[in-house]
Amino acid sequence: MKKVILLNGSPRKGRNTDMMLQKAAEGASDAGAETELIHLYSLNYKGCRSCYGCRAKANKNAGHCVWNDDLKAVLEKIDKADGLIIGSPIYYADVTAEVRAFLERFLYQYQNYDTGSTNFTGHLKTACIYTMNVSEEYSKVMGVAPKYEGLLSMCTEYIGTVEAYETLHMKNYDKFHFGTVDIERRFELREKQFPLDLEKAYELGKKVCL
Amino acid sequence: MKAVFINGSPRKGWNTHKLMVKASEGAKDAGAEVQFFDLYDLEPFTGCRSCFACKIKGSKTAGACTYPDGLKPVMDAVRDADVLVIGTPVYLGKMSAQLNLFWERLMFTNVSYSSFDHGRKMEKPKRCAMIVTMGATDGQMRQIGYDQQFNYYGQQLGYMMGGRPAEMLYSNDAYQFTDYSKYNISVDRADPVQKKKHLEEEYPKDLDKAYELGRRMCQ
Repeated sequence: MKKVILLNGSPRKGRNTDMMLQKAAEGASDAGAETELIHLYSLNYKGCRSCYGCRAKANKNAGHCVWNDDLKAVLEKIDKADGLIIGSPIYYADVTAEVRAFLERFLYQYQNYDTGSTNFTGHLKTACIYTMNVSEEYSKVMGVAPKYEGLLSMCTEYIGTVEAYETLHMKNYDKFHFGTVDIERRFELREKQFPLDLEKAYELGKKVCL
Repeated sequence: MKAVFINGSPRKGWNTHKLMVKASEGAKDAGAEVQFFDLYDLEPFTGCRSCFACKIKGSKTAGACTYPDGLKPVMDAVRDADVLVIGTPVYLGKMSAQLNLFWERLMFTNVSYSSFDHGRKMEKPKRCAMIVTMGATDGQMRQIGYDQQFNYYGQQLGYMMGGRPAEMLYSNDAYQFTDYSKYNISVDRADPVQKKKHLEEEYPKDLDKAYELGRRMCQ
């Protein structure tokens, strides 16, 4: 049975990114895969420490991160998995710092500084899910959504990214300064657009299992 | 004058950290009151949690991140600072993730969703600088575009802190290992002899530049 790991790189459980990931998990599950959704904010870990343990000749498990914290078990699971879906809200035109910390640990271990190719011996399909405040048009013009295709393709088979725009920040905006956001439109998009975004996430989950 | 130094590198006594220490010495010699934080040594903290507390209407702390975790002492020091110097190695083409956590918390508090005057309400506008180290040579940096990415960070930082773009100091061709023979890395990628030469001849010049930067920022 295929194994698909989904990473929630959003601090908020049960909200936009998490909802998209749950749909993707449903898609993967319907395609016959075993799925596991991991919340990165529930773990205690840091990004790469430049300890270079993964490159040490003395390390029998070279090519694998040696740092022992909560991320170690996650990296080991992904090493054996068939699919990986990374979900993140867009913060400052990038994935969240929590996801960056994961990417440093995940990608650096597989970069082989000797041959220039990868240490990864498995076959992993990867995909991303982004949720963001800005509109699709603004995102495209300003390059808001980060491009991780290149980095992920260095060691995995990257299959695509699904993006949800102008997402709903909260159910009640009354108590907050949100004057530049058209709140009525947000609720309208929640009704009409977000279900379509969830559908795309579902299809992405299925595609990862092909 | 109060100057805050934020080290976003995991390795003590190495490239970024040494440059930051030098810059802080320059600031001290210029008479500034200096606070130095190593982001990898703090009690656990995360990036922005999207709690939106900094956007609550009528709150006394609106516009400031007050999330109670390991980053709180840093946020408090920064709020009170006149000068902010940030150091980071380049990881996957961007700032270190540990610095990125701080960055989210620092920047989002100054993002306004009610008007477009981001950063303009900062009580104490700050003079900012960034010290950036990388394995890439100056030529490689320009070819790949790391300088563009970090110049953008510097512009954003200065703007959000209510001032001019941050002054940038790039230190290239960083020495990575104490003993290159113990690691899986080809000579094509990093020639130990050339790396050592750069460390002995060029890196000290970067240290001098860092000292001067620290001094200049606090004058």
